[in-house]
Amino acid sequence: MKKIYQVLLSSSLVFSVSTIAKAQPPEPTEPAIQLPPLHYSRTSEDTVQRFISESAMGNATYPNDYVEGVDNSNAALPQIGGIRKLDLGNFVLAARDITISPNPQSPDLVTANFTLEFSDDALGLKLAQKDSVELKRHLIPNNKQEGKNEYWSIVPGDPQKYFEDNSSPEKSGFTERLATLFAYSKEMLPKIHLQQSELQLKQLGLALMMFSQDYAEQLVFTQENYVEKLTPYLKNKTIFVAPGTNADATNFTINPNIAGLKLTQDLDYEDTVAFYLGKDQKLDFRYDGLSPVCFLDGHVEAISPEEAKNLEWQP
Amino acid sequence: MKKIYLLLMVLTLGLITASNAQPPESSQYEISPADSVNLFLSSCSSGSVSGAAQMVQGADAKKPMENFAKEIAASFGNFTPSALQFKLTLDPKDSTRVKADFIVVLHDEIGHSVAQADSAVLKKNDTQSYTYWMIVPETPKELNNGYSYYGDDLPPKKSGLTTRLATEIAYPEQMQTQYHLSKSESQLKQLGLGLMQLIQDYDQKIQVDPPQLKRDIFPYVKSETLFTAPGDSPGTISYQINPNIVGLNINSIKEAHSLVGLYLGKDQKLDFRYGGLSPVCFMDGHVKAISPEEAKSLRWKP
Repeated sequence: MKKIYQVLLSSSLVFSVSTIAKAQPPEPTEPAIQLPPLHYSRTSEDTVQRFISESAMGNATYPNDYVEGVDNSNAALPQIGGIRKLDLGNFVLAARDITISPNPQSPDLVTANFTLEFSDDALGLKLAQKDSVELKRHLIPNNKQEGKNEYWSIVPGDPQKYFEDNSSPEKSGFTERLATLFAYSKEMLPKIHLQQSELQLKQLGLALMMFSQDYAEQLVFTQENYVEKLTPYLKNKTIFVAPGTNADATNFTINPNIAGLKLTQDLDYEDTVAFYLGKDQKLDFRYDGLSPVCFLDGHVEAISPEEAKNLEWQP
Repeated sequence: MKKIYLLLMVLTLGLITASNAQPPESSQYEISPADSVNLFLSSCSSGSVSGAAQMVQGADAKKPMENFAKEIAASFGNFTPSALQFKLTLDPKDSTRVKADFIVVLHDEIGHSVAQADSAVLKKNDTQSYTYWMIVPETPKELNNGYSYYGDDLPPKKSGLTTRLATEIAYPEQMQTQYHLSKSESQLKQLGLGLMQLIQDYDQKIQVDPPQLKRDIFPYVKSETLFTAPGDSPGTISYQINPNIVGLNINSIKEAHSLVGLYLGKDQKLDFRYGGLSPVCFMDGHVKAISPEEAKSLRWKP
């Protein structure tokens, strides 16, 4: 605890010193550099440590200082921060044992190797894996003293490769992925939402199967009461709410034609729509022009407006 | 990721079908140790009591542990644990026991994951219709020793997550009490930190209106749930501030480490609800679980 206070105290001190530094006019010999949001020195170790702990708290104001190329004014940024916090449950993240190795090609690049730790102290659960991330140095003219202040920011990964599995025993890839989320929040948000809604629909499909087993293979509900009837088979009611919308809404709608259906009939399970995102059998293509659909056999697909024309609504 | 979900789905459905089906006369349906561990882990994170208890030796699914199972599931957030790359070693003395070494992975739905080596001992269990493997839990006492080992040290080579979870399920009463106490301690720690920030903002003065503790500290902690101790209904304000310190300058307080700041209870009487212990946050910010005996010598006056 005391350490935290010390860190807080020293950082606020440094900050006040740097505020004074900022007030001085720049030296004419220095090249014009646009000042980044932080004006004091920060080591690469500190950057990794604080990025991990602060973003785990769902704080989206700070991670943007730690990642290369984050647009502070982007409206998607707080939403990404919110997603992170919700995901973690009671887990707290920390980076331990950080070692920095310089890049022989460039003095402005280093690789940080560390142990990423997930811990839930109350339940006594702990999980730790090695991880690594690349950092880039920025030099800011320091007008008060001689020399320059330096700070480091994490280099994000390729957003196109975000969902590719790059994990290995030596690298979790968690930190780089997290940085990618912040750096490309605008591109990543619909992708993340689509992924989340596909998983929610999968759970709805599973609930539908469990329900039919309990009711002699028949979907004994109506278009009006299906939410009530299926809720006991779900973790919570929010499964019906599409990511990125108001918590009171029901966005995943049931195909009214399957209400009351007997599942022992010879039906086209693979192609018949069970749940969809939208209203009145019209899909909502909100995720980069795609809309997730859950079919009667439980499988989920992201559908384009072109593919939507051929959807089977009648079982 | 998708493969894991598919596998789990197939497994769960398989289990249901197997339990409903008549036992075949010659060959029995067997769930491998790897599948048993995976079924156990997914049941834990989805809050399925019967599923989790079925896979742990000595656990009783009938015990009233729905609440604890829900708490365990909630603590995982959107992360799901699963296990892969199994290596099994049969116990040379007992052919019904096997030691499983595997990798436990915690992953969420948006592509984040962390993995670590883990191990568990499993015991074979034959029912009429099928054979499966149960995880052997540790006793709560053994676990506590192991847990203190973590401390602030480097993470150990093995996570221990699977056996720890199995122990929570096997001894729900003791483990839930301990879980509630630790959670309550952590709440008090955060409230204490909030109080210190408030004091800094008010020129070192403890500017709090005791009945309005939540209103005053909330801006510094930004979490409603911190004020409700585990076991209380949502919205309850379970913690109180020591009224004797209100209005004082924090610098004028001597021996802050022994002066009560925040406590669980009412009217300066502690609530010893967690196995006869009650958490107290002292004015230096540290939190300790206090027994009724220790409570007699607590310092309430600055």
